[in-house]
Amino acid sequence: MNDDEAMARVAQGDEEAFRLLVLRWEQPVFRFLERMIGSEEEARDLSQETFLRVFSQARRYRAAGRFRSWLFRIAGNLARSRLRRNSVVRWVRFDPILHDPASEGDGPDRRLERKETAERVRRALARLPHRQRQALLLRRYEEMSYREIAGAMGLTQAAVESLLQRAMERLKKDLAGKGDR
Amino acid sequence: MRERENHVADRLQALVDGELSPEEERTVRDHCEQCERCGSLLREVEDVYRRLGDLPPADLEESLWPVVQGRLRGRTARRSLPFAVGASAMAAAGILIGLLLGPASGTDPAAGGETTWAEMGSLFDESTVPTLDTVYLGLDSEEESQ
Repeated sequence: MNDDEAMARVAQGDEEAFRLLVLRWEQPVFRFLERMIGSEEEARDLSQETFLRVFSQARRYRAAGRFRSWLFRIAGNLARSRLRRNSVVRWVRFDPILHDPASEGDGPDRRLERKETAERVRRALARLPHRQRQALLLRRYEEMSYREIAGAMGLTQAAVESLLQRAMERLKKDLAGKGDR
Repeated sequence: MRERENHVADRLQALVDGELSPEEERTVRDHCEQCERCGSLLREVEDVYRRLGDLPPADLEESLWPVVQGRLRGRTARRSLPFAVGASAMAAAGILIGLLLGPASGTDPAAGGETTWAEMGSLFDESTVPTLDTVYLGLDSEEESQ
């Protein structure tokens, strides 16, 4: 069952179809929100809220093979709304290296180096304006096309490209050490 | 030449993102091989993307489904409460009238039961859930200029 078929069933109140969608998309949505917000706990909370809204809006969804854009539009808007409310982003609680199977065989020095590198990237992402961050996360980690990102953010493809260019300019400076704290 | 370099520089992001047509991609790559400045800019963009890969993903250790299912049913129960109270009040009134007027008819108007999953969907109708436009798309006017 593809996403559009599942959504048609969810609109009719099919629990199994909804469960299938949650299980299929919970990891990407959580991963995106965790990188967007910087808090595992809040990302879990917002992921739940995203899926509750998918359910409540199922009858409004228009099948066009764009479920992923629609889903990430909800998640992205919830994230930006939360970021505006929080005003201060917490970026330090989650230790990605401890959760990364790739680091299991590393020695202490290598683990520390990987941890510092990841933290540096995390801080650089945190300094990006919300919309630049959102576009970049969708492109780099979720591997969305400009068209999909445009759908997920309510922008034109040219605007998406512009956001990404500005994000990359900032990241170049930050990751090169300039302005890093 | 400067104008041409700028134009190519503007296409480097789309190049790295695989958004150019094969013909455009060939043109930009050819230029980058000949132009030191654009070639250097291209390597910088690629380097930033590579560095972003140094941030490992957070993974959910447990599925969200049990909690999502519970929250949905919780919402349903809360939304159903006023109806249940109303139904109980009507039932009590009915029993009282029945006792006053004569023998009970044998029916139970207060009979309830669990709300089915299909009924949950109907609880999120247009009167209880704002539209997508107002909830999700109305954020842009408040956004910081980015």
